[in-house]
Amino acid sequence: MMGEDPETFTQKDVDRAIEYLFPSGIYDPAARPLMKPPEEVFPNRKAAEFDEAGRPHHFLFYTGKPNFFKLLHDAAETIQTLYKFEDKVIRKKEIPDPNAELELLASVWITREELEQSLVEKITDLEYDNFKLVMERIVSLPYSYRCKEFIEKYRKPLASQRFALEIPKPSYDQDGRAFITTYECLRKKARGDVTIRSPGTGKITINGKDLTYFQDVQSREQVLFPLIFSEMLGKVDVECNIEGGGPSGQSGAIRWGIAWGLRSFVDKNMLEAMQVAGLLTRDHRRRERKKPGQPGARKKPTWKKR
Amino acid sequence: MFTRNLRVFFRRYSQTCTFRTSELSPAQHSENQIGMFYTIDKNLCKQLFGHGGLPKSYMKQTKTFTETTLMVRLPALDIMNCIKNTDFDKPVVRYVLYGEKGSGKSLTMAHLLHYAHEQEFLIVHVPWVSEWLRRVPRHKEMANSPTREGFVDLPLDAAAWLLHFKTQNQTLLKNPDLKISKEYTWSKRESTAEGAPLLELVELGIARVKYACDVIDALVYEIKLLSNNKRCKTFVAIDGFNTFFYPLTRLRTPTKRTVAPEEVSLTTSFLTLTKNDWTNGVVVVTADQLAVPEDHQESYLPKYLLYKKGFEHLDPFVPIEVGRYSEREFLTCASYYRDRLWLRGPSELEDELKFTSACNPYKFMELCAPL
Amino acid sequence: MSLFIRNYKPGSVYNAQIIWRYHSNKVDMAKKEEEEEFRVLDILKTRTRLQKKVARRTDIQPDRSEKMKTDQNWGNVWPGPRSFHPSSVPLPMRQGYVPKGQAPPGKKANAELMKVPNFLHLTPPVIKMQCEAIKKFCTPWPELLNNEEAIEKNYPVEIITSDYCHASPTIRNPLSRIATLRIKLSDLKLDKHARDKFLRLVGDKYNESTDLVTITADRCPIRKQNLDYVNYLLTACYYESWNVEDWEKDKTLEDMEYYDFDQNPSKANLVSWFMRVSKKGDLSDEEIKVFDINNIPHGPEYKKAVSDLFNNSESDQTLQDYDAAVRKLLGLPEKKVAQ
Repeated sequence: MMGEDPETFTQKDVDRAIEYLFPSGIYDPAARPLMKPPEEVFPNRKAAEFDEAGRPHHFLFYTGKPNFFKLLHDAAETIQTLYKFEDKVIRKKEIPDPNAELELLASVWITREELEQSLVEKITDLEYDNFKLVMERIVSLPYSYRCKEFIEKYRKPLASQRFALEIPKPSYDQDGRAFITTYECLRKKARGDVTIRSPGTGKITINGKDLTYFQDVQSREQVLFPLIFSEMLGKVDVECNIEGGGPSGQSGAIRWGIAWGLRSFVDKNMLEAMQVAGLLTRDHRRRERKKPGQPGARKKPTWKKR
Repeated sequence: MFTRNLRVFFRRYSQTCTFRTSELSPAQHSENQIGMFYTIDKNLCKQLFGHGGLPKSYMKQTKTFTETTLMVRLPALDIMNCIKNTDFDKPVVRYVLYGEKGSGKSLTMAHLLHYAHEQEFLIVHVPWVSEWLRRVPRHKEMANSPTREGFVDLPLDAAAWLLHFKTQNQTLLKNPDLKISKEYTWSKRESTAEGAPLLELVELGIARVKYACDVIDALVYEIKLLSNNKRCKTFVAIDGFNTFFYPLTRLRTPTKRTVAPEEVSLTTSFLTLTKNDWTNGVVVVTADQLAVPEDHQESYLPKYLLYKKGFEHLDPFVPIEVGRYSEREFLTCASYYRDRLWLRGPSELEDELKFTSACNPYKFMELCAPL
Repeated sequence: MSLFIRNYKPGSVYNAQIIWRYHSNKVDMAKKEEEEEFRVLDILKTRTRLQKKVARRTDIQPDRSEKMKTDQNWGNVWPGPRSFHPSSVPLPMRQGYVPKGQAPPGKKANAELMKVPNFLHLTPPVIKMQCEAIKKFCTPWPELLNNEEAIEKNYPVEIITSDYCHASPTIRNPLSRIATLRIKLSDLKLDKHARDKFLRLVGDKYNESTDLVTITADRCPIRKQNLDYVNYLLTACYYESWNVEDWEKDKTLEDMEYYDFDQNPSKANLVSWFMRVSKKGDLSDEEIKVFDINNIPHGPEYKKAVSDLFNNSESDQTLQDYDAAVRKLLGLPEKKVAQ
């Protein structure tokens, strides 16, 4: 229908075509028209659990959550085998291979919802905690790298870490100075872009003015914080264009923009420290709407008995 | 014995440290002392600034530090250099100090006043014009001028200013050369005879508050005349000069009509003093954002603040910018604050403070207060 | 039965991917039992349900969209704008907001899909085909107008109108009547006075940073009328700005569009200052007006600095120039600069 080759027509092209043919302005993307393979549209359901004789397939059926407890069972079995292996190695008087150790910093355990989806079973908080406890225990064993596959199945890469890995290389202007521009620095209603030039004198330009663009000290501190934290104060020049919102939103947006741009100029340890300090995290909070029948978003009228 | 030792110790200390200069006379200050602090003698300070002239927050700080110290900065040195090289036979040169809020215009002026005092200028200093035109306490004394039609007098303010004038020029006014050129008749019984000393005129104004404004008028006329005749050199300093040109004051006549600044008799007398139709004097005025209401504070540049009218009244004038601290000034200031225990904590603090305060002197002082 | 036993092995049975429905299994098993002639004691007397034949009405044809070929010409199926029809569109569309864990409703009897405007009649191949069809009515683009500058030079007036294409029953959008005319001010032939008057006439329709005059009209119901009106406005403004009226002589200092040093009090200040310095008597107003400031040392520099200060707006640079000029004029030492 779109006059293109069906062999190379991917799902992405389908989505684009649907957006072209049925342009819907509905706010929630989930409510817009879609055309997807049935596996994605229909949520997966549990398979039949009994055989012809009315007896359950699964040996843990009567636990109520067979898949989950199977997982725990497998985990326990893994631990046992690892213990045995360790004993064997100790008897041989060898040490575990230091190169084969698991890289776990860049990933986290899958969330409860994701685990529920993969097991097709509802799990309580307590059960999820138990799951995590068991997995942690496996990981803590010296030979855990032997069951890497099993562990990797329940881990996912850290989202922001993934972004941090793809740090853009700075480009060079005519003076030979490295610069990097971060677009879409958003916070509250403020949006703008931040340019960082690397060998600099610590000049900060905000909409053509210097730091006095912000009247209050708090906003100025906000802007300076990533620079102070990464000890780049006085080493880079910063230029920002920002509009919309108020002073705190604008300074927050600039703060994030500076921190995001600074990734290209700091070393790995500092990057991790910045990550931990929350400098690279976007603040998605927005103003909450006022509700009818009460004076504010959450505030209720003064309670009066009668 | 102990106190002497202590004094000796302190003198040594002040000679060794880098942020203080032992040169107490502003006339001797040179570029070598830029950024350094010098101390004004307590009695002199009382004489010069006893009735205002230093900003309130600065007064508080001097009280905390138990000394009045001023930083030697470039704008003041610049003006002093200009004054030294002025031909006093020519019409007076007007200097306009301008700069951002809290950058130290008033303190530069204080430094210049000290200089003028030392050079035996007759000082005509208005501490803050807005005090007259914009600040309205509950009982503001106002009266229609008896001598000039359609003008408004501020007798109490005028008398207070005369007192200020008198204390500032205590020694000079005793000079018998300063005499009045003509006879002034205030009322049927009161008059000031020709040839009477200037001090008598001033004292009459203080004693008879009713005539204070007219006395100021006469005083301005006499001072101009005396300077023209080389009896004395005059140093006119007016802080917040641009208030005179803001279209409205906050004063109201008893009939609730708002008063324009031109209708206040004090305005006219000081505007005649800032014209360049007399010689043997120096005029320094400031154009300050804080002297006008917030709707006219978008820029700190003098033409904007003075309006076209004020610009044309003053021109040709020499614009002198009082800027933020330079690197060196900032460091000496920080070490001075450390010495006074106004600033504590690790030394990385200064870098941060430099950026947060954007090297603005007042902001820097404020930021250091809780540290 | 061996199958049964194999199925029964507890370890190997567990396989979540294989979906075996309870019912169908039951039926299967019954068949096999018959084959093997082994009767099981049916205590609960569960009867095997027979598959009922669903009675289908013969006059209802299967859905048209299912019979469509994959290589059909879509332009013939959906030739014009029309609201969504499920059996004409062979796409498994879905739309609707549903609670978590459910699938959105399909295309049949889905009002949501009918509400959405569709471009099914304007798919890329159709557009291409139609373009090909009307190509023979078009003339080629003039060769000399091959770049922006040439176009701008020969056709300085730019007319901006908008055509709207949408799926509503009417093809006319009220917004299409709006006409905008744009022209560079430098393309108009105006002298000093006419330019000033033209700017005053057009007011805020002139953009100083781009040097563009933009006139927009939306007061008439039809685009043609609006276009005529816009052209009329430009013509009228142009010729009016060349007229010099009598009352224009009454222009005072406040009405001036630029700062003229010779007519302002600044000159009087300068001249009277100079007379005082040179110890001559005061001059009258007329004498000041005709006084040549070139006689004053550094006078022209001062004039330039003041005019700059007023005309080019006050800034650090203009103030510095003014400062330097005044110092030269008054014979003061130059400004000290921090080392």
